[in-house]
Amino acid sequence: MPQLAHWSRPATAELAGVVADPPARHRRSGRRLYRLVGARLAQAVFVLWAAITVTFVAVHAMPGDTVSLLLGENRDDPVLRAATIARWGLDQPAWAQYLIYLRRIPSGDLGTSYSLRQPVAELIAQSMVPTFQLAAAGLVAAVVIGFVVAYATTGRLPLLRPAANTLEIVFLSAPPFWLAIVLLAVFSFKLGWFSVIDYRSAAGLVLPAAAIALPMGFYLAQVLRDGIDRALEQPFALTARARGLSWAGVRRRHALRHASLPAITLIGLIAGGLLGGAVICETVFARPGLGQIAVAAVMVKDIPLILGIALVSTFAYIAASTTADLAALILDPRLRAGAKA
Amino acid sequence: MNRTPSPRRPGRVAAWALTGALAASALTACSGQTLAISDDPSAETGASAGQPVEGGELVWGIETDITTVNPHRNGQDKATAVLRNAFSPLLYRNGDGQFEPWIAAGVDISEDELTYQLRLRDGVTFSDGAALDAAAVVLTIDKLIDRQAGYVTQTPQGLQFVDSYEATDPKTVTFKLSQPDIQFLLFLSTTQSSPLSPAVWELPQTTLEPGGPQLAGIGPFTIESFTPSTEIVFVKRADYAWTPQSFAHQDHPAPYLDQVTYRVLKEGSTRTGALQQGQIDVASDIQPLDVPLFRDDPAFQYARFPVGGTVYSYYLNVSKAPFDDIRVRQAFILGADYAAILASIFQGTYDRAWAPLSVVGPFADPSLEGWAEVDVDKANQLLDQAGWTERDSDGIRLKDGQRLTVRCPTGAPFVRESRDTVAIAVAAALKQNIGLDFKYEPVDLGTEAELAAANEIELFDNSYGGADPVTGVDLLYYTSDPTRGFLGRGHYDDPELEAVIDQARFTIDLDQRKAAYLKLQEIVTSKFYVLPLIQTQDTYAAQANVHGFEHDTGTGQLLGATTVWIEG
Amino acid sequence: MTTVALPAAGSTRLGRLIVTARRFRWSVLLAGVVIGVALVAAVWPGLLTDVDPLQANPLESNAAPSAQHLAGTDIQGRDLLARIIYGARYSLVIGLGAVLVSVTLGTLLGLAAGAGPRWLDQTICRAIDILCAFPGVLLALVFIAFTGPGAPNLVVALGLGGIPGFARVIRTQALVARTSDYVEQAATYALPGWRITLRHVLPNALGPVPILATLGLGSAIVGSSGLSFLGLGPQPPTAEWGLMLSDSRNYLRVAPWTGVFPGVALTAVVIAATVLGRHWQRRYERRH
Repeated sequence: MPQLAHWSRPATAELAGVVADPPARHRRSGRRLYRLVGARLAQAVFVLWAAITVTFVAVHAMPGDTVSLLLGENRDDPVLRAATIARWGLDQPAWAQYLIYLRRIPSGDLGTSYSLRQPVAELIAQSMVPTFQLAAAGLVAAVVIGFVVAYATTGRLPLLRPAANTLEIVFLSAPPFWLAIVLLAVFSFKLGWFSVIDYRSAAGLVLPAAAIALPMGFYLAQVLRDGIDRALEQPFALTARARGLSWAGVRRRHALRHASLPAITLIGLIAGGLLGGAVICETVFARPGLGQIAVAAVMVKDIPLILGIALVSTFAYIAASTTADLAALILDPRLRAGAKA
Repeated sequence: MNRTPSPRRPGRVAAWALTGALAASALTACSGQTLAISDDPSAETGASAGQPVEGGELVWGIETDITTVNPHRNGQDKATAVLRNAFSPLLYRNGDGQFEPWIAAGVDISEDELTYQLRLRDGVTFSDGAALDAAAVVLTIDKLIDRQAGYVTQTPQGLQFVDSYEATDPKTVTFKLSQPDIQFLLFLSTTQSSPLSPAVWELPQTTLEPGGPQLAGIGPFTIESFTPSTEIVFVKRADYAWTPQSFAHQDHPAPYLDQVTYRVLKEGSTRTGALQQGQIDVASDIQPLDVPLFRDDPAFQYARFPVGGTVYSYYLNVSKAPFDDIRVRQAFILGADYAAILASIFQGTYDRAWAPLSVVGPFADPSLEGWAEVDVDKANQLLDQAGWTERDSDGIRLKDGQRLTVRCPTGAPFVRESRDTVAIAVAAALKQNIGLDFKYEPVDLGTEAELAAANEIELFDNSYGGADPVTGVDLLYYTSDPTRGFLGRGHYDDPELEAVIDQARFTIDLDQRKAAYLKLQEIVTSKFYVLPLIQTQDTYAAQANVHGFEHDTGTGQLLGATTVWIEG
Repeated sequence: MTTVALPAAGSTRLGRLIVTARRFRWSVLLAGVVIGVALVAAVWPGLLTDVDPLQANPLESNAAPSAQHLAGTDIQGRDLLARIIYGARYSLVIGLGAVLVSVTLGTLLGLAAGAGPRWLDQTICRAIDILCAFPGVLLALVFIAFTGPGAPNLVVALGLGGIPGFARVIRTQALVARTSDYVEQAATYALPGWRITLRHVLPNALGPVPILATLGLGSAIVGSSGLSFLGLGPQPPTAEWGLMLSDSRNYLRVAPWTGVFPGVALTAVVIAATVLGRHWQRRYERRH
């Protein structure tokens, strides 16, 4: 869970059930991998269904007139009212409305944004591309920063560690929009290295991706570093050293791989936090994308649009975290035995 | 039906043939440049910068958030100025209040001002090749007037009194109105009525409404791409050949630039930084503290100029205490040195407005200059006379236990151009000078609407743009009819005022309208209904090598990118 | 953490003093001071300044730091230091409120899941997974879309996102406590289940909560300032740090202090909360 895991060190992260599960109610030994995978996938589908249901309940449980809620500023328009009532089946009993909703969502009909006069699905499809580019760039940069900093600060160079610790705390604590504003002011307007106009090219991605990647990269570095340290204390490290491998070699060949495991799960969580970063960066850097549309939708209370974005982001997040969990399951046999799916 | 202007009845102009327009253009030939109040002595005019250069690409940073490029659906002033690059209106309303032909050839008006024959030019084509004929215009009007189709949320004001219209021959559309209405002609001079190619109406609603490259209209540019809230890319339409007579670039109606990109950059500091670094060529809406950067640097140019409509003013709510008493209203208006406040905040980059109507156009009353000079003693006297004699511990006046409080909740998204700074300074001055508690509160739009509906506001601040004040005046002062006085938070319900408003609207006789607006300004200032504050203006800054900025003399705004060229 | 072995370290008073000084974590003390000052500013700002944060004076707009205005003034001429001090209230109250929401609801859910019957556990676990599926910022945005901007709405919006973390931790602790000796003993006295839960399981389950709450506070403060920056929190002219940073964007070139000082204040409080939280976390782990 990003907010909390963001701050705790890995030991507490484990305690939070992020990496390893609490004592199971009963153990079953020797599960086969595919059953675990299947169970994890089923869980993902369930959560997705539940998210769709929750948004349905949210819309219909709000006090006041549902049509007015959906239409926002256009609530007095009789033509739109009639169209909306027909579309959402609001003149039918609740269970029928729910079924209509359930049928529409997976088929791609997420409603119409009345503030922008376009189908929500189209709007999201258009804006997803720049946001996805930004998120991917941010994720890659965060992973690179994480691994590089972690690798550089483990082992026998104690001087780098306090520096890295300080930098990490500063980057995690500074408000992300502040970081973005500083990057924009210094690198775009003072030094002129990057253009703020240019949102399509790779050069235009550098500053926004950096604003996202720096906090996450340092956090990832911390997780990795702790993992490497613990791995280096394991017996196998001593054995490897005894066989003549240098410390660097031990770190590279064994420790890093062991440390990567909790990190993979965390990457799934970080992916969820990328949308938050995208929202801030798109506003500060004047980029198009989901984040910018989401904020505008909240300002004018465009409920269909914000719910559409919520569902799509939820789907993306579930996909990312499920993939990360499955990767961890496949890579680490220890997680298969005695763990709840 | 055609009559030439008769010297004996100067008000009865019934013919708008090309000759009439030529006469008007003779009066306004140079007005394309004279309206630019530039703080930069070296600001370019079209002719003096050398020979225009063909070709080139320009990036223009704007503040306005453009969510739709459909000219019929986007009515924001600053947005229509951008959209006119691709959608020229049928007529052009110039700074003297006259209407000149643009896409249309002219309008013939009957004696009784109830029948209007819109004549179209020969050889005009849409950007997709279709010919502009009466049928295409009729089709466009059909879409605009039909509420059931859902294309527009409200029928345009200008079509309110249109009884019928039809294509009487391939190049003429005849409109019959139930009463004379200047709003109708105004409507024909805005992008709101720009004709679209008949093929466009076949597009699905979801493409039509937000707009994009498929929206084929008639303009010097066509839209190549549109990313909502981010940018619009216009490309040159080389065969564009139609301009009003009073435009300076008669010999070159098509644009010079190959491509213009309007990039939305909402923060002033972002536009400034981008312009300084050369990432954009032109930036609109320069904030006062950035003005010296461009004004004093020879590598850049800067200009500011007034725009039309009703100026930024405080509208007093006369329907309830304390402003139901005219003495309190007068005290409010005399009680602070507004001119000094504006001078210190804006440092000469904005002008004080005295008349409620903009100086752009023929209607502002120049005699109103200085009508509300500060007089703190008189203000205090008036308040004492009105019974506000006690004071509470903060120094705010009391009457029957009530504080002298004036609330002004305003929609937070609309707060711009340091209006909140002005209000804060005004509040401080009023409290100190006359013991009045002025509460200027930015709130979200929903709350503002609720408070207004419940009549829980004492003062309303607003500026309304446009070429002609008729729209703004209706909205702000015609409070007895909610369908017209939509923004009438002042609740004036003043029959004398409304009679004058009707006189100014339901005629096309310019002299009659001028007289009516003079009377209107006299009424609202003598009854202290309104305090005009800041003359609304636009500003821009650009690289020094960008030339050819021209103005729409009617609205005061820039004409867009048609005449702009980049040197070397 | 001493790394140098002083000769006969504990043998002289001075020696003992030096050992203590080196052992002492100055960073934690500093963090404590910062949080203390922030709390004072939140609860009783009048103690730290007598200037009105809303008192505007356009004649002194964007004035540089001086004897009269220690942190300078903003675009409206308001004293920046006073605004920063009064701004602590919003950041801390919203942050604490959000954490309180997370802790309360998270504890309830976690306790019910860990100490209750199995079906309840399964249900609550699934519910937590669903809540987890909505990325934090998005949850806040959706909530604010329904309820509108403003401080109380921010509290709930941010609090919702923190529930899963606390719920999971409490659940783990409750599960562990269930199987402990003293609970088994209490069961032999035939005490009703809920009494056992309240008197024995709950106190032992709450162990890591203060630590996580402190860590979560930093996250909540950053989150609330981010949402205020976007215009979804307290509205102008409220003195709130995120809002102040947003307002200062256009004036950084001529008045950088309008952005630097609120940003430093915000970062300092968050760093302090994090440092304190991590310090307690280390001590907690060493003990268990």
